[in-house]
Amino acid sequence: MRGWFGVLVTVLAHALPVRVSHISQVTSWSSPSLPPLLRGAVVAISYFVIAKGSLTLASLHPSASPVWPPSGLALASLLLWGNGLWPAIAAGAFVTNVTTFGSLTTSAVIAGGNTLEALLTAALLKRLSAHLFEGPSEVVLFAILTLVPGTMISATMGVGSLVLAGFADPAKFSSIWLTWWLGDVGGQLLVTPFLVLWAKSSLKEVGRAELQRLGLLLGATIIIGIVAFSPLLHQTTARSLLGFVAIGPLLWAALRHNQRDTATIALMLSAFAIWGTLSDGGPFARPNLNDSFLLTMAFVISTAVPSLVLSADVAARQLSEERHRVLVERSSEAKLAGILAIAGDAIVSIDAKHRINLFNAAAERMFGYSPSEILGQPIDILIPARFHTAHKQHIERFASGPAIARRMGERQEVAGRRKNGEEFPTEASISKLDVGGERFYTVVLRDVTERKRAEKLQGQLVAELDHRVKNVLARVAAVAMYTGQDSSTKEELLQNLEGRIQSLADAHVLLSHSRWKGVGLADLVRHQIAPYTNAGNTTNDGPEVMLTAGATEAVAMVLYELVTNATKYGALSTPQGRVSVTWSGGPNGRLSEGIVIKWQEIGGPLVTPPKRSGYGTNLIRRLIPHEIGGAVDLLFNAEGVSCTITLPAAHLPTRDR
Amino acid sequence: MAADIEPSPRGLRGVRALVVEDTWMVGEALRDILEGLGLEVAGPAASVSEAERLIAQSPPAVAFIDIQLRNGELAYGLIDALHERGIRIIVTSAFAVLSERVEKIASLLPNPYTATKVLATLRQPPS
Repeated sequence: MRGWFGVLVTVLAHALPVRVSHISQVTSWSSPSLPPLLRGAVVAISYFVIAKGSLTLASLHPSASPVWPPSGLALASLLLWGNGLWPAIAAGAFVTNVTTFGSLTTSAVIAGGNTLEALLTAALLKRLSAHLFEGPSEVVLFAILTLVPGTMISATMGVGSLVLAGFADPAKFSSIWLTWWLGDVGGQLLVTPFLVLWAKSSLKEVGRAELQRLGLLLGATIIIGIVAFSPLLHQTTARSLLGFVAIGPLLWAALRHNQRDTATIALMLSAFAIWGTLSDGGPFARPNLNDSFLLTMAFVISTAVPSLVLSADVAARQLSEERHRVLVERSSEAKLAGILAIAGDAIVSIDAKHRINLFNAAAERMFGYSPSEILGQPIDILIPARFHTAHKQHIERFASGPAIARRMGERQEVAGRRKNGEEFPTEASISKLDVGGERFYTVVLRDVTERKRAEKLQGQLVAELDHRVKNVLARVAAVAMYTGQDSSTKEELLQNLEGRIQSLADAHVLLSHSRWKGVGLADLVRHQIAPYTNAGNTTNDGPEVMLTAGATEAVAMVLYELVTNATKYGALSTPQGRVSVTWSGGPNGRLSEGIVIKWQEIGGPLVTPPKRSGYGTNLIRRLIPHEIGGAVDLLFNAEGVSCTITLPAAHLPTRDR
Repeated sequence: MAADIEPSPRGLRGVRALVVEDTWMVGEALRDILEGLGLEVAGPAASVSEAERLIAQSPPAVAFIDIQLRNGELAYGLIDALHERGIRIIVTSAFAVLSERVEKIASLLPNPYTATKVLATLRQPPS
């Protein structure tokens, strides 16, 4: 036994280069490369050596051993390297038999049977089994094909030729045939999976932990083999029961390891069992050595096949679980990709070295970098240089802190830097994540440039509004105070007060309509004098021109005083009187130099200048120069009051302002 | 209305006051109120330069100053200059919030104001 097992290991170590493919991924019939002739020689010599060793176990007939691993070697060789290798098997088998027993003819027929057995089984496997050993049904199929028809043909041809040639007793045909057949079945069943699975697996890919586990399993198997089967211990009835313990390492290998290791354990245990039986000890010892071996092989086959099937089932389930996990992972990745693509905020991930490893579409738009430019770059590229140190410290503090996620810069905004160098304010949140011992940070950024602008504008508008409201109230309070001084009766006071406030209100209505951008002078004149005039007694004319808010208020108040004075004492106090309001760019007709507004009364009563200057007169003369820096010339000519108002160009906004 | 306040409060008669206010009728009203209280009033001035011209003619003891002047000019520089010369400052701004510095060196007279409010502010101990 030591002979052929040792040879097997030698063959394994030298003839079968390791394959770089995982056992569960074996789907092709591709094979390791070796020069075909050398390969054939190796197979033929291996076959010969193992066969000669195996024949030392033959007792019923010199050519029929109940233990026949060469049939497994032959099948594995064809499966791994193709049917073209059959001459090597034929040669090995022929030389073995010629040097053992019988004639050239019987040796040729036996070798033909052995070769046909391997070719037929391999061909059927390739035809019927899409993925060899993958899944329990494939293993069952393999087991059935080792029983029929190849091994039966080989046994029939071998034993038949020997009987026909007179090298075997015809009376013993059935028992020799059974031994032959069972030897071949056992050889294929135990050796083929062992060789094929090892050839398809890579020792380089096996990790240290797995090697330790495998060592433990092999150690346990050796101990059980020695205790249960070896001839080293004295055989008793009680020890025979230990044979059942062999199922332990087989189940262990099937459930916790893989098919390759299960096949290895099955082969090892059968080696121990054969060793025990060979020494006429062990649980399978019978008076007849051949019967002992038959029992041994029956035991080995009946434990190995279910173990291999179970192992294949476990592997299939693991593969299915893995596929499901990959599917779940892919679908969650797809979902994440969808979210990242449509997110309005920039999402940027960095690794422990602060290098960018994720950059979504919004980030591309915000920063102006494409993923190919930015991935792998340090995060600093997105931050103004003066913040680099502070930002690094911030991330390091966050890294060592207890929080999983937090807002960045709660008191101050975090500045970003676009590809074109432009800086912009952002609102940022950061989260940290440890994946497989590696740390990742994800930052979500929102560009708040627009919001900041809007907030600033809103603040300015509120301050402006506040100022204007208080200003209007102050004006009204002052108007109320003075209106009391220049009104003689309560009725006159109320009328004057109402008129002045209404004049201010009218100006504000126009300003409000223009959103405080400015009011057309023609509109302002019409609104201010309309309540006191009719179409027949006033004219107004001038180029289209806008006034600022300040000028609108000032001109409105002055026009109000002029028109009420005209109504009480001037041209509008008689049906014949007329007022004209005209304006033009000034002083040389150009609006860029300001504007001159001319108020002219005519046809009214003879004018006498007032004895003392009242509030209204003072307002007309002083308000505009005081508030907006223009000039006013009010004249009480006998034929009618005239007033020339000059407004500075600064108070004439252009249309598009 | 200013005329209703009588007799003129003691201690205010002849005190020189400056009014800096760009809203003409508000400035006029304050001038009348102050004159009614017996003060000698220069102004209203609507700009820093006008105010400086009036100060050069006769330095005031107290200045009533609006923050925002004609054409958006701001009076902070003027307030500092007057404060350094030891002139008492009363800010009459329509602004809701003033700078800390101004609040430290000036009294506040929010408009619209009446003679009573002006008198009360004048009688507050200078800050």
